[in-house]
Amino acid sequence: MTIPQMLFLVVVFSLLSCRLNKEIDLELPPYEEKTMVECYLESGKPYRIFLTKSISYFDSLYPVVQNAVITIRYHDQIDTLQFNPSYDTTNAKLYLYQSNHIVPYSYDTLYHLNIEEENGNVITAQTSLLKPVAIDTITTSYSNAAKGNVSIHVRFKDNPLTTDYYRLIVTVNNLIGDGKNSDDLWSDVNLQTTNMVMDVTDRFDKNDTLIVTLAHVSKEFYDFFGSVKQAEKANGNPFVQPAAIKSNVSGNAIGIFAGYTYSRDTIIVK
Amino acid sequence: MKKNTPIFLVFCLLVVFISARAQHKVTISGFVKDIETKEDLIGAIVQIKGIAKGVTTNAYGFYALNVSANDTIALMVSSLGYTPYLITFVADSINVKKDFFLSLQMKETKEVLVLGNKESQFVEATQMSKNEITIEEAKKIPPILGEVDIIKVLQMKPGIQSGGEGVTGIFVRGGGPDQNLILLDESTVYNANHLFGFFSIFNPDIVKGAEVYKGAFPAQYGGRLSSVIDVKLKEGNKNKFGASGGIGLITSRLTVEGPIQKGKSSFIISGRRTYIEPVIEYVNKQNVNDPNYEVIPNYYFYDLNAKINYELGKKDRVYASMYLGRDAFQYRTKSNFDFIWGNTVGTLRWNHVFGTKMFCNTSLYTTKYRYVIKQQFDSYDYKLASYINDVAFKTDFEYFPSNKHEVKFGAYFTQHNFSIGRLQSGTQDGSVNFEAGSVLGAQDFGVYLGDEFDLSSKWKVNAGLRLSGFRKKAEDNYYFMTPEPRFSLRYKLKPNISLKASYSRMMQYVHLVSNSGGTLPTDVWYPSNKYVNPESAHQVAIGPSASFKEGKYNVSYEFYYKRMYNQMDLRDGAQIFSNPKLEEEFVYGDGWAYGNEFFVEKKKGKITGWLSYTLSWNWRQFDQINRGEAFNPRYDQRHNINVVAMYELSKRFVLSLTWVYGSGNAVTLPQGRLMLQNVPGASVNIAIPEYMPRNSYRMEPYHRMDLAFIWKFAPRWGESDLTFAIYNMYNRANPYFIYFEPKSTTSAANYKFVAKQASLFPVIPTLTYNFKF
Repeated sequence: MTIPQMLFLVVVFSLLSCRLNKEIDLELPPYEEKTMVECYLESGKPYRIFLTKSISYFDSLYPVVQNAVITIRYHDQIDTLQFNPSYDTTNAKLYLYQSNHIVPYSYDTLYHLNIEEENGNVITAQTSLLKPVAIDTITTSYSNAAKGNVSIHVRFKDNPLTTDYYRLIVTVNNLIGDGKNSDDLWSDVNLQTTNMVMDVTDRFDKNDTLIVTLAHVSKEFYDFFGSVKQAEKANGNPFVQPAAIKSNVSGNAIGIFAGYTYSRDTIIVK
Repeated sequence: MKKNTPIFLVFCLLVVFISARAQHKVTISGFVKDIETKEDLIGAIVQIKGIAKGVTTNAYGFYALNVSANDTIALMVSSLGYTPYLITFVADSINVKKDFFLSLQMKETKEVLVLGNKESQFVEATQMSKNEITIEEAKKIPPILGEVDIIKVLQMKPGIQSGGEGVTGIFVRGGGPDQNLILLDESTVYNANHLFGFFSIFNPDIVKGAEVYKGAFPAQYGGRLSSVIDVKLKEGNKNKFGASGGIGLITSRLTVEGPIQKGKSSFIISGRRTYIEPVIEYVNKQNVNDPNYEVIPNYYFYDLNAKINYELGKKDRVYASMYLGRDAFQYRTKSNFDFIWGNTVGTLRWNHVFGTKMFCNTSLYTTKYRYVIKQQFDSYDYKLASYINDVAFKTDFEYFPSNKHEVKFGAYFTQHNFSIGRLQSGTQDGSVNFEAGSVLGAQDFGVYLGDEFDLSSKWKVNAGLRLSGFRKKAEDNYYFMTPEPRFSLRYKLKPNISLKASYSRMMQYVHLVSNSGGTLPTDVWYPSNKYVNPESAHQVAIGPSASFKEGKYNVSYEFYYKRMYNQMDLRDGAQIFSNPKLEEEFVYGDGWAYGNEFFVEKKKGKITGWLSYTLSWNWRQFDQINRGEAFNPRYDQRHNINVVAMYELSKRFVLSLTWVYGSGNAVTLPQGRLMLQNVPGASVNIAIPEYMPRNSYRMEPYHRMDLAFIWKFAPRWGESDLTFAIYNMYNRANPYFIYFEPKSTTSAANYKFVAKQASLFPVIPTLTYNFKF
């Protein structure tokens, strides 16, 4: 739980008894739709992309983008992604465009994304992959033994000479999870230490099988998901300043094109 | 390195001491006090009867008046709510000291005398952009949730806003909540709020009154851009022991006061505390077996004030005072969570009168605001703390060379110590241990000189200069030095109507770092340094003041324009906790605010009260925010109206009513949304908001009516009253914030959303019992 979350919790508790809510009619100004780009390069997985349109807040359906010409260029090779929707049941993810080529285990390659839409909108971005960071140990502790609330502590080696960014995802029983998932971003910008510990508190129960994914991510990735989190939190929390989403794609678009390298481990809570 | 050379020349020009005093004048000086308690009376008028010109007592009840030697003098001494005192005597040929003691007006007296002369100080003084309130007035106004709060009453004056439902802090003429200098008996208070700003730290039983300066700042005040709120506390009864207190919905209060050495020294101790914990504990215990029950956090706050004073002789008085206040949240559920914050203040003061014409107050004080968040889960401990701690010295002189001049000068030095986001985290066995945060030091110092003087019977000027400096303790010995000119002018159009104008430059060297729309206890004070320039502001104001029917009605109108530089905000996603490079999270911009304030007040009669209307505009512009386009801060209010009416039905019954109206807060709402599928293993986000330009949506206006009925008793042992109040009489659901919720969930990609408005306080009746003996 973050500090703003804690603060919000105590304030909400103190005011809950007299908080009154009502539905209101609200007229929002006209909204110009943008293309939403999601493309994560995972070593050993095909190049694939999810491409939709953003919508006005009170609209209901997200249109998918079809007929776009999408290429990913690396070294001297240009790979074209075809519109070929497929569903990854393991991760419960839908991909709209993909190619047959596999992202290599290479950490010094610069990848260039180019998307040309039917309406002439051109979107570009570039990224590379970072070396994964291994998980050393995962330990558990009880924050409240009577209620069986379990915290986990993930230890790994951090390079104190570089500024690194991490994402820690913990799912229960499978990669989709059962609602107790935890998803945190972490930076060592102010904590230059070799032995890093990331804690996930109070979420799990005895006998849960936890799949722990520690991703070593770029600053662009960190900024994008950080701004997404803040944008979400500001809806309904007056203590959070609404944030613009920090994309790393150019053109009339929002989104992220980033490498996604991780190490993964499983632990059963005893 | 930025460095301003002191403008000594301007200083010298301002030294307009009148040395050529007429030899046939002598000075009468002394103190004006309450005859019963021997408390000093602030702002009492001492004047020669029949002559409009008079002098007012200062914050310690001191006055000095020049009269013709060997003449027969009829002197009138008066103060709000006191029977005027008239004395006739032959002035000696030498300067004399004379103390005056006023008695409270008899309750049967219908009219409350405001001033002894036709032209009140409201018209006479050069001071504009100032409002004041006594605790007696505040107690007649409907209390907020049963608590009399002098700060909440000040927010009903023009140009001072509360910010709307649930928005904490005070907003003065477009300034932010950190731009108010709050003084408690000379000492700075850094966080004057309890319960996230719903109550102030000022216990009404010990408060004497408060003044707020919104502009036309006298040279003795500085350090903040937008206002000075000067709260004075009682000294304690020097004649007899007494107690007062009350039992209310939220808190109970008890004050004890009395003489230490009769007539010479006194003490006063006052405490206030909430008592909701037993209720919370009871409710939590009742639900201990309910697995779905969310434990309610325990909460309390308290205030403790203590003061003593001693008259060492006719010329010397010393005071010692302290304040201790704490808020505490304790959340005992999955983990132990403690959140404690509060102020600690200690002050020593020494008054000395040099001759008959110069008064000096010297203060030495320490003030500390600190918050601590502690969390413990199993073998892991987590502690986050920040504080600002000042040790300050200041000396203030008031010199009265003639009736035409009132010269003020002084110097100050403050040592600031900042502990910013100290994080300690680790296991109890020491295998994991983190420490982060920073400790900084800085010094604030300066001198000032000001003179309020009559140019003619119509023109009066108050000119001053404050030379402020700030040094951040660092390797490069970085410091700032800035002149802050102050100038006010009064031109009398008629005996009861004057036109006033003013200019002030203000500097602010310490900044409150906040990542929320309002203020929170976890906001951090941060000093100016090589990377963080001081905030500065220029303000001009102009407008007429008038007094009618011998002070029965006061009317004023003011137009102001304020330009603010180096305004600070945080970049999106800033990390303010445990960040040793906090200055890298700041963004800087400018601000400007302008507006019109209209104020009419009825001071006498069975019905008293005031009406204020403010029409204002407030803007900010930051290159890194809102794509560089100017935007309104959340608390920008186009219209602000306050109506306060008190009706004295009889000696025993008082009915009072307030109505407040403010244009809706400017907020940022989502305009569009997008779907984020996310990385493998992470959840799909159905509706990531994409926000409209900052604060470009206006919520519904805020308005509320409160009513109070005060029933006074006269028991043999003293006085008591029962106050029945209704907060938000017509149950207005004022907007706190707007949020969006899904309406239908037929599929992940086919969500429909509706907008909802959250409000906080419905109609709330309260009953408070107060006593005094």
